[in-house]
Amino acid sequence: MNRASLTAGALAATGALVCGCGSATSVQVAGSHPSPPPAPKAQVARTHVHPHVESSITRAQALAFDRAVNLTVADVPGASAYPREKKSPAETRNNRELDRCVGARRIREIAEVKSPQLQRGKGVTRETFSSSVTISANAHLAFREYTAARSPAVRACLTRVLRKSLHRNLGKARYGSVAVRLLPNGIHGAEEGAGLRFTTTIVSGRTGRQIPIYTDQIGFILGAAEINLHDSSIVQPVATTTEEQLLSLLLERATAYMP
Amino acid sequence: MGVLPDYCGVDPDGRRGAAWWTSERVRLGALLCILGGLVVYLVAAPGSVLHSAGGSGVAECPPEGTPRVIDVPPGYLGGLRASVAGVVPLRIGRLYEEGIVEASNAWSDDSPSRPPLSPRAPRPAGYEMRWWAPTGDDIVADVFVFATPTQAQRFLGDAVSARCHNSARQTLTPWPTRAHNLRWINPEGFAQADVFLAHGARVFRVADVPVGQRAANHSRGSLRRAFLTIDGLACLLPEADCSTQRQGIPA
Repeated sequence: MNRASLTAGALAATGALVCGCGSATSVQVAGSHPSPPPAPKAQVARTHVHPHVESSITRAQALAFDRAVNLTVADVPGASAYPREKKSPAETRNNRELDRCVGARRIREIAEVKSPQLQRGKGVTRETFSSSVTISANAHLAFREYTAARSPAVRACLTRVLRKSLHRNLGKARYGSVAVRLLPNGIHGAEEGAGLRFTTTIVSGRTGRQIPIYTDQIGFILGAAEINLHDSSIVQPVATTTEEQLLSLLLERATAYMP
Repeated sequence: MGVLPDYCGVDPDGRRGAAWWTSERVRLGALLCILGGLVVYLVAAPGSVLHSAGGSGVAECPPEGTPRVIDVPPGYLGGLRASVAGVVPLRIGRLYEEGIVEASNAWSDDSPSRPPLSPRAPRPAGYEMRWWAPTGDDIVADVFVFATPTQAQRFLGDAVSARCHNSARQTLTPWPTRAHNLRWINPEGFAQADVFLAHGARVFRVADVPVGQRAANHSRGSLRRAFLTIDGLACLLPEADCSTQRQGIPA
């Protein structure tokens, strides 16, 4: 896995939501929930698991597979597709810091394809979705770094990096608490699965109210493929069942199109 | 050793050392009692065939011939979603589920489906969103699209009929215009308040399942409040006409 995407995606998604909110001054929040929402459990239908086939996949096959599996605008009703932004030098710097947090190792990547950024809603109802599919020389080894986030020390490191990056990237928008939490692992049918929830708050310049932003990153392994779902939402997380539906779809596509 | 007592004419020597439950008559009687109890349970329990037809006999639900929603290209669903998303705006409630539904969801309370495997495949023109209200009530909004307005009206007639709803009662509500209220016990065993509204080839439903209102102990007051809620929310539907003054609270 491109280790950077683990939290770089969270930073990008958070930034996009904040900028979409218009510097947090025009956000209208009709109500807030009295307690944090429970962490979701990703449940995906059990499907046949393919054997480890990394050595026989060509780059062309890997690219075709990646494109067939990734989310499209048709998968998220009401969404519009936006191209992913190219990595900036600041993002590259962030990536290196994130790699140090999780103890990332260099692993040969055969192909990685990311879906466009899928966005729907506006203001406090805005949600973003995207996916990425990576075929690497050793997907299980790559994924081990994802699961390194089970360690509280690693999560604390990720939180520090996220906080620094928010400070650099959000400019005048004020932000409050930053937290990284492990999501329960329940992706049936995949060989390994893990998820992280990043919660930040931005402060409305007009009302002073703190508005939470939730970014979830959930990944799983199938054969030589590592498949990730990224989503973000304001005030409340993306509905658990929506994540489950999309994960189930990604898993079923990966199983159906595995070369 | 004394003489064993005569157990109602049964040869005591034959029963020497045997427990009473080994008697064939006793075992047969117990089996019949168990079978009888099972039959009663299957027939009389909530969710059973009789209950699903309102206790009026077995019925096919939804009724045979109830129209199905049409199939549409994927991009069409965005507009359907937008038409119901405004029922609970601005994150007032917590959105917990959404997706594609068939017309039969008006009866089944099945969860919405995920998108099909192929991004190009057509999909049913039904969309549902579900929220937890701050009160704990479960709020649902659906839109169903049919081939013609006539089919939409036919579906509406079936959807608000008491025939396929447990313990159902239907009334017209003055607000929104031409909307129908339905109170019933849903397949999960909870009291539910629905409002249905047709506009052209589309039928909308907004439903409220008040928190904690199981069939056995639901109160009239909570359903009255639920109808006030959903009739008000239905006015947020783009096609709703709420220009008439509300005359009274539906029963």
